Amino acid sequence: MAEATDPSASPDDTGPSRRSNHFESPVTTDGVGTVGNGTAAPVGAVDGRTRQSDERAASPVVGKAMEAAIVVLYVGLVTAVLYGGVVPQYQAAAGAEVAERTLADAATDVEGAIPPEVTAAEASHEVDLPATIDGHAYRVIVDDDSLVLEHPSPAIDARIALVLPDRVVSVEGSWESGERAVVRVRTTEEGLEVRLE
Amino acid sequence: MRGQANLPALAVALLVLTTTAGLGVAVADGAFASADRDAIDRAGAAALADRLVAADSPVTERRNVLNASRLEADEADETQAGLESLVPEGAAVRVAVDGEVVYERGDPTGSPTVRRLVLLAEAQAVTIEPPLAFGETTLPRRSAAATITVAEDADVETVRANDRVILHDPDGLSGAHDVALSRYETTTLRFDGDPQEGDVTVTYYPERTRKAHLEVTVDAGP
Repeated sequence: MAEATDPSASPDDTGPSRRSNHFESPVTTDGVGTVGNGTAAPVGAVDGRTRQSDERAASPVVGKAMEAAIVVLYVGLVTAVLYGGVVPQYQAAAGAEVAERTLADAATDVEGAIPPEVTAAEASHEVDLPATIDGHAYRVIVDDDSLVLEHPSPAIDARIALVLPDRVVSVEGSWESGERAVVRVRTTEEGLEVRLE
Repeated sequence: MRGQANLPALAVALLVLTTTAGLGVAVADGAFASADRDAIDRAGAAALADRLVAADSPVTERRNVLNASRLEADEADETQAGLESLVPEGAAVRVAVDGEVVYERGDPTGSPTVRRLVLLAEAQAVTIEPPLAFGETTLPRRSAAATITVAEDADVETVRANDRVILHDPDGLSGAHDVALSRYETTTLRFDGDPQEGDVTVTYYPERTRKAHLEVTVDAGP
């Protein structure tokens, strides 16, 4: 009972003061309304006690609401930071790596399509290109016996020099991503002609 | 402040969450760095290695068989010129056979290296004056070609290699003739007209091959 838990309570306290002691200690009451110690609101009249219990019940609600708001703000902040800086950087890095490997595979396919030394040959070889890199379409063009990958994003740029025998006299043409990519090799009077179609 | 007793716990929880997110980003960064494969350099090295061991390469006799004499110092200029035409422009390249550098341009240290197992072939010229018992002689080593020199007065009209006629002149053979032989079987040369020892000189070119490693390192540049 209240007397056991609150040694400062006087023995002729009424019931409501014992209820108040259940929440906080020690509150000295003398039945008149002056505050003994602590920061509790004045007790005394029955109205004051009801108000205090109302405010006591509101406090955890406010606390939880604040926590919820803080957590929501935090999640929003982290999402903004990630999608603003970290994720686009990783997408660009992954796109650059995919572009390099795509170009290396394409160059290997072109070099492998060259037939051995024979009198006349016509070879046609289909090349696998991914449909998009980093969400955008791209082109593969020939520039001075090298394959170049052209992509709208400035971070993605790759170039590889083709190693071809002296029999090959010309390499030309281009590939668009998303369309069927074929490399055709034909024997002409001067030598072998490689076309990207 | 009664209801806000949970706030420090929330702050600590958010701190832990932020630390975990930061660690996750750092791990992803590390994974990205280790996934960088230098695809362009590697493809360039593989392409150059395949070109070097192909049949029409300047340093090979046939596919996967390098000519050892072309890799040595006295033939170096021709080999260097031949290799220079194959190598892609603007790239640092090193080609080594069994650790010895055969061709180097720039410094591609740190770039991927592609290795190929090849045969190094050394051909010598061996000249013999066969004893010609019964008008035939068997070459002790296999050889893809031979040079047969027949004296004028030997009266040899036909020369056969393993029952295949390789030289024939109804007026009598004389002088040196280059012939092609089979690389895969032992050759027995038969001379008609009963020549004596000393009338015929045969020079053949046996090949010795040994395994070697061809290493190609390419740094394709920026």
